[in-house]
Amino acid sequence: MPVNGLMVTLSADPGPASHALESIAAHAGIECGERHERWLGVAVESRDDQEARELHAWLESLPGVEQVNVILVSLDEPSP
Amino acid sequence: MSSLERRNFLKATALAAASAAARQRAGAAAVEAPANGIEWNKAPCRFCGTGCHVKVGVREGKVVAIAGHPDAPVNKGLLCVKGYHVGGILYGQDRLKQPMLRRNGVLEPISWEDAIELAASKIMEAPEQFAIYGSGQWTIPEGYAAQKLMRAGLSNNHLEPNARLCMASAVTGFLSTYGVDEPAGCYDDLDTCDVLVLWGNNMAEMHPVLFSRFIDRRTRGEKVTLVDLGTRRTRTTEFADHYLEFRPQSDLAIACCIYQQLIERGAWNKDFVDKHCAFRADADITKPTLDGVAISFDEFKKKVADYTPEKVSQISGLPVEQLRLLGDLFADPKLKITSTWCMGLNQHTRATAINRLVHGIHLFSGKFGSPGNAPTSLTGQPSACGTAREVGTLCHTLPGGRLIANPEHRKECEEHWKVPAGRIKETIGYHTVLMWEKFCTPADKGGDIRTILVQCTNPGQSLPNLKKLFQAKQAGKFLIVSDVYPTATTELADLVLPAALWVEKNGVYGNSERRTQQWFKMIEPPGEAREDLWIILAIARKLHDLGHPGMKDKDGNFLFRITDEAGKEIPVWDYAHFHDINVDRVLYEDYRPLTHLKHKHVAPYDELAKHTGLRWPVVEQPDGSYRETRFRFAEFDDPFVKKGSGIDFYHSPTHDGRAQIWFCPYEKHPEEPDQEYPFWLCTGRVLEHWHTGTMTMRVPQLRGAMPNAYAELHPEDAAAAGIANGDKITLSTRRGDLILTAWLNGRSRPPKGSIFVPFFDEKRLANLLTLDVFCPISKEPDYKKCAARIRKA
Repeated sequence: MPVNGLMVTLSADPGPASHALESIAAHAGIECGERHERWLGVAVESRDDQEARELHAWLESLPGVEQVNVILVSLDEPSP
Repeated sequence: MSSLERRNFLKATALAAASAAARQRAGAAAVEAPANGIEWNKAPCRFCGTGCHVKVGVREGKVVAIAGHPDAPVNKGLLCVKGYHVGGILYGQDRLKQPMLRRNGVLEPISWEDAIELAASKIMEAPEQFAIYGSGQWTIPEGYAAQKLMRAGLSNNHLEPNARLCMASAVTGFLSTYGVDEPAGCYDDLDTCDVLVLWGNNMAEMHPVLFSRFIDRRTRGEKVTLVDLGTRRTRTTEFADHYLEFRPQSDLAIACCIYQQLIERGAWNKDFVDKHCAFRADADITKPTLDGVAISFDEFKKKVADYTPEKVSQISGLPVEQLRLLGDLFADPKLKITSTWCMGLNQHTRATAINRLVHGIHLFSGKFGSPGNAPTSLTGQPSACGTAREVGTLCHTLPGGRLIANPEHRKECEEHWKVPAGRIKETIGYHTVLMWEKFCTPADKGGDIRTILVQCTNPGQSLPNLKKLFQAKQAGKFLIVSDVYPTATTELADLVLPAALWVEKNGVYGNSERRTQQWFKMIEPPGEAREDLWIILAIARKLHDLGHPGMKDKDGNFLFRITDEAGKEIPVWDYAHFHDINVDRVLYEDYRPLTHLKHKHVAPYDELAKHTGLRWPVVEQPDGSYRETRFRFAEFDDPFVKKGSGIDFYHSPTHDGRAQIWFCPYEKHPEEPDQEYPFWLCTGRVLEHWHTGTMTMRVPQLRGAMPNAYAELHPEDAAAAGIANGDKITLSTRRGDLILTAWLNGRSRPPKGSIFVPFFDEKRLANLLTLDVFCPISKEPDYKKCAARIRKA
């Protein structure tokens, strides 16, 4: 199960940014860190790569989200 | 640790790393993320020449997480899609884990001892017919060891890196303009320029972190202009303010048109040019040389006079207004302009010429020598600059910018390596295309390369015109390949050596902006895989034991004698003792003084260990600290510039402190589309894969995102040939045929009359089709242009 750390850049416009923040916080697969001005760190846990991609795309599609950067990627069950 | 606990650890680590990045982006001090049982260490990314630094998380001997290094000046904590999957390249299921010898057509396991013995005995059969084909993915110590083995040991100059195929033309462009290789500017220019001109450079896909660095400035509200000069639309184009789509090869005319406009408008920087530049051209354009001849400004003016916007519009297909836009930008003294390029200019039959012209435009307009004003070539491999260019692993070079053709340079190296005078052969070796052509030619017909050792590269997929230059390997020739996975090259190998990869070994790389980067081994390689550096040392020792006289120095010591603090020799050729000392550090420190001749002072190894890279020249300060250089030749930053001179090209080709502004004419391509082959074919990379895909195709996420090569077609061209989206087509050139899936428009929306095919797919070898014609000066082939035809398969 992939676990990724993402940095979300929120809109400079407070309204959409606040709505985006609410949506992200309500998502079961996402754990939010502390918000620093327009930037928010999140951990995303997904069933597989497909779901990880979909979550990433969902975050990017939110009004109030300007950009999503991948900060950390775990290697799922590395084999010897 | 249970699976749940492990996941919880990873989740906490991921959140901490992401939060730390967010905090840092907001301008707050970085807070170190908790380790959570993971040991973190630093390394440059294994892929391109950008030189992003990553944090590698290791637990229980495995790489378990990758994060962008928050303190790295290059990438500031960010990575591209390939970078954040870089750990996955270590864990493909088909890693090579034991040496193998081909017997009766089948690769069978053999011992390391037998493998090294066999390799050495093959070399001993005809040392002068042995060649090493290395890589811009070699670490600096690996390249340096290969260099010393060949030049100082075997008196043999048939040493080449695959970097011949990607940046040799940038080298000749820099050398003929400034008298010394590598960019004057650096990535900081992307943070300060007003205009970024991309010359055939799909930066959004090929150097995405650098592209983000520039584009992020828009997010912050800065006004920046992006000009995309290309022969096809790319992801980069989506961000461009101006997209200038020109006919292949006409970039030469476009560049000359900028000169013409600056002269016509009286808008060139007369003060800069008078003080710091001279003019130059080829004496005979049919026989271009690296040096050319000096010309006067009046001669220069006369030569460029023909390149009016109206005339160049006819050659290039660009509207006059777009050509005038380029003239406007370079004529505006207030604008800071940075130009970047990569394979679009370098893989070109007139590559040295177009490199010179881009430098020339910057010099002529005075857009040089201050932050934001620079012409900068980007490299595709992580150490094309460090190992190919600085160590000097090309067939005509020696370390630190020295040349084999220069007797003084040979003497300096012979003395440094403590070998007898005359040990280094005075004639240059075979360049890449010639080396492989000789290997694929029967011995009785002049094919005088008998044995090749390939390391860190995949010529069976990356050479042009593969049928001629690789697949025609002759019986009786012996191919040794050390690599991490089975490849198109190991398909024909006689001896396969399993290699350690990336953080399975120590390493030092040099990126595109003169930044030297070091890392330590973090995990063990799988099975019996071993370091490429050890392979070179072990072969050298076996040659010594077999009695090759070149493996001893003047004092009778082994060429690679390494001693401990007490002066006792450490048998590093014996793998049981290879790690008794940091051999990387020993060889790097042996190499370092050789970088001083051309003022490329690389930092001491122990300094590099403290940093995420330092840009040379790195000079020790009175307080014992080391200072890197961002902008070469500029007095405000470069410690070697003469005080009071402002700008000083201290390795000027004319030895007078002046850079050369070259005139180079437009010439037609040697294989333009015709009635029989009516399309231009361009090959290249895609975002998800790196080069021949040997590593990225082993990462499920990357392979899944882009599993197969394809042919991008213009919809009208496809319709005319009765081809629909997804149809199988046969793409043909004068060198071969390839069956591919048609992708109408694809990602790049190729213009009518052109086709794009990526080369990452080993099942669909794009280089069966490409042309092996090369730039007459750099010897770098043109992978971007040849004539092709299509039909429905």
